[in-house]
Amino acid sequence: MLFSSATFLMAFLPITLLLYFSVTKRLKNSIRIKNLILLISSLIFYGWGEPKYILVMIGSMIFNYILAILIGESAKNNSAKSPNKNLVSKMLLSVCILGNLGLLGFFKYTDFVIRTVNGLGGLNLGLLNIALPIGISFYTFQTMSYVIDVYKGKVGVQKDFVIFAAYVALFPQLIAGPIVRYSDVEIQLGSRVSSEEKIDEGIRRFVIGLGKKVILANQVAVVWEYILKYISQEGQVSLMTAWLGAICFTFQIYFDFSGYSDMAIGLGKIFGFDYLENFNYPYISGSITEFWRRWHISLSSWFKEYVYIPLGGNKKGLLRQILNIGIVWALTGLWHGASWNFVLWGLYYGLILIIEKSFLLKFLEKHKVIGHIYTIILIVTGWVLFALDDLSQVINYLGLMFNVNNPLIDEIFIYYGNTRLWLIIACIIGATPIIKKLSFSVEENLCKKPILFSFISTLVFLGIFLVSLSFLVIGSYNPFLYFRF
Amino acid sequence: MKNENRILTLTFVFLMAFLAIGTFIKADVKFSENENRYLQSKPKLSLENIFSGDFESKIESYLSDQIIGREFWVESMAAIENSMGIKDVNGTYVGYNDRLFQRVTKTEFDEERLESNLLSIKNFISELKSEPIDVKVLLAPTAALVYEDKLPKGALNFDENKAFEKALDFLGDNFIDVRNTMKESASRCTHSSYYAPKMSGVNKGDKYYLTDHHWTGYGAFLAYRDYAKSIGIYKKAKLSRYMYTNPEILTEDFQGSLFSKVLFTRYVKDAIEVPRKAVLSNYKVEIEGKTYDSILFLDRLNKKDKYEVFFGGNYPRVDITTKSKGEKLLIIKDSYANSFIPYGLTDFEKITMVDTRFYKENMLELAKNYDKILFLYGVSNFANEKLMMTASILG
Repeated sequence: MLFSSATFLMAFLPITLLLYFSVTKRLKNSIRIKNLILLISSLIFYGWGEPKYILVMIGSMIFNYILAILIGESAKNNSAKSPNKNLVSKMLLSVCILGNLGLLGFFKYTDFVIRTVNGLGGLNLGLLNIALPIGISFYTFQTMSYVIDVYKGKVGVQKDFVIFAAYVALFPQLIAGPIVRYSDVEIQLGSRVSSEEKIDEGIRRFVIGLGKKVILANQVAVVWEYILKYISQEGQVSLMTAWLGAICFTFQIYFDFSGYSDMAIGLGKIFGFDYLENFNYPYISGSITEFWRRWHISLSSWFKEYVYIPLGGNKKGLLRQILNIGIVWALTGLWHGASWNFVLWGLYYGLILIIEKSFLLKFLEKHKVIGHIYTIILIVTGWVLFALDDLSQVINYLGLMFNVNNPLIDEIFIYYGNTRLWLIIACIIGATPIIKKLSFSVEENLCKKPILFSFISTLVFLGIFLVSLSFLVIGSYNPFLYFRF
Repeated sequence: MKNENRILTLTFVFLMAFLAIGTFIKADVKFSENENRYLQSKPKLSLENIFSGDFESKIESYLSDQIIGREFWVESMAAIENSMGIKDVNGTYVGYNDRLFQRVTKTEFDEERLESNLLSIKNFISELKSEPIDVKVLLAPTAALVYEDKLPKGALNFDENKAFEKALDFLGDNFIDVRNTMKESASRCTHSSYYAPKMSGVNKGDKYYLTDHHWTGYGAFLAYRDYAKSIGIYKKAKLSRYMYTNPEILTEDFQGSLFSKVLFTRYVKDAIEVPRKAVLSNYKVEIEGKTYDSILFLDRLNKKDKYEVFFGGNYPRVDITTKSKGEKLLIIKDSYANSFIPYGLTDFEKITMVDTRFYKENMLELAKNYDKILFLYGVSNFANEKLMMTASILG
């Protein structure tokens, strides 16, 4: 099920909210009941698209639940003074990580391995065509964060299966993140309060996310898809058209993904959860280093904490640091998709980050304008690498963008440039904090007239929601980019 | 929490309740006249349906098909896109003065299929070489070609001229190129006594509808005149037969297929006109075993798709026997022929229309019974049709 669908907005969400909020605080064990409601509705939400894969997820839940308890038990045998966890704990952790990665690897990377082997060895082994259970990349990383933190002693073992299962399956962030670490919500799972402020905030956040996805992302996607289709048929477009396409995809992936994160955070807030931010206006960055502090924050911090630092980070010398960065970025790329262009995309950023860390960053910080332009160009180029599976397509497309012999404009650029002007302007504005700042200053100016402000802001959000709804009903174009994760 | 802070939450609670309950209470609409399709009805709730995923996808279709105020949402989206400057709305171009065009881009136009269809027809013609049959092919250009200046600026369309050149290449003299006839401006009419000085109806000289992809009565007339010229009956007969004088206006409230896609051009309407002879009831029209005395199905004027007034729609085969003396005409066609045929009712003693999508018999054998054969298609439809002109049907 998708957030941006009739089923979710008109049936699933109203019913779930009704059930959840009918459990008053006065009821004994109200939190337990609420968590149960969330768990069951999350399972329905997940199973809605693919009933079979619920079993995979439940299996993963049981596996991790048990292992965490075992690790917790064996940790009790450690003396507080001993710095090394005992062998049993280590083995259990290894089993857990291997199990989770094995599950992810099987479903997501089997065909990737086969294709690579075929390519390298000139073989023609048949692909298994295993369907990818939705969200598996997200929930395996989430559960791993839990077990690893239990091992480290950072969080307590969750003996209540309902709470644990609810954590794994929580429908707001199950399908497309953010990757919520158990440590961030440990307390909230057991005792949280749904205040009216939070609900109000949550609704706003959700509506913004919905608007980003349906109004902005889906619309620029139309342009990108047309340009791609045109290239696949006619082979070539002008330079500006190639850039227009790449820029449209740049906006598409941002508004799609950050919109979905907004909806997830908004829904979480309504139910009383505070998730960490996942995006912080990444496109206003002045360097790639800054970009990755603002883009898909939950993923990059997951990799930092659970891969980069355990590998030694920057504490084992420069050469090792470069290797660590390379590994982390190759894996980050690979996490996004089971294809070599994703690995290349990851390494592309790894390399840039190394260069920036060495000397470039100081220069960029002194020359901010150059920094911004440089960053945008690298980001847009990076997305081309990301968007096209086939490396030959990537090379072809980049050629269209950077070959000075390519004609500058064509009819496609004229038409789409003309008709999508306001859309692109809206996207540019939406990618910056301008609107947020504007709304703060309006709020300040109207601080003596809170009812008026409340009225205006309600109208604005209502407008966004209604426009989004009308765009949804036509329904012809509602692709979801991050589905393959 | 202060009351003013509750305004937003309460608004959304009411909105959500309204959408969910409103849709639930509202009676299901079975058939959408605008979309010309059956809307999803309540899917059956069964374990089997749930596990197969069938129930889930049907519920999504059901909810978005039956959502309360559905047409309002569709119309809003189209209007918003249009006002943002996005002139391609739901596969339709919104042009000057809200004239609507069907959008067919290069990536949607199948050049290969066009060529294979042309080749099939070429082979068909050579199969009939020995027979005294005159075969012609007429492709109706799109409104985008004829009213190019009314399109949104720089609108992307497939290369229509190239398609016509290909047709000329493949078929030579068998092909009737009506592009120039169509493009000549209607203002030429006022100078000549050939044409009715008062061209009535809302369209006033339009060759293509403002709200539908078909040609108007006048556009069809122009094409027929070219056809008549090409088979030589134009010279022989009295000029008055071909004049577009005092057409019969069947309706001035026609809002066609393109309107259905955008819905916000509510004040733009078309007139459906036919020559007077078409209104008469002295024909024998045989459709699927039934016989009628008129080619017009006037009750269709009460429905949304008023273009169906011609023959009631598209059928595998329609046979018309007139009271005139003349030859026998076989038209292999799509819906463009429906408004074209009225002009030929006094030139032929028998007209048979065949739609290759549905007609499964041997076309070649059928063709041998006629004196004149005409392939008549809209050009973009022609390229996208899986024209069953393969050998299995032909011979």
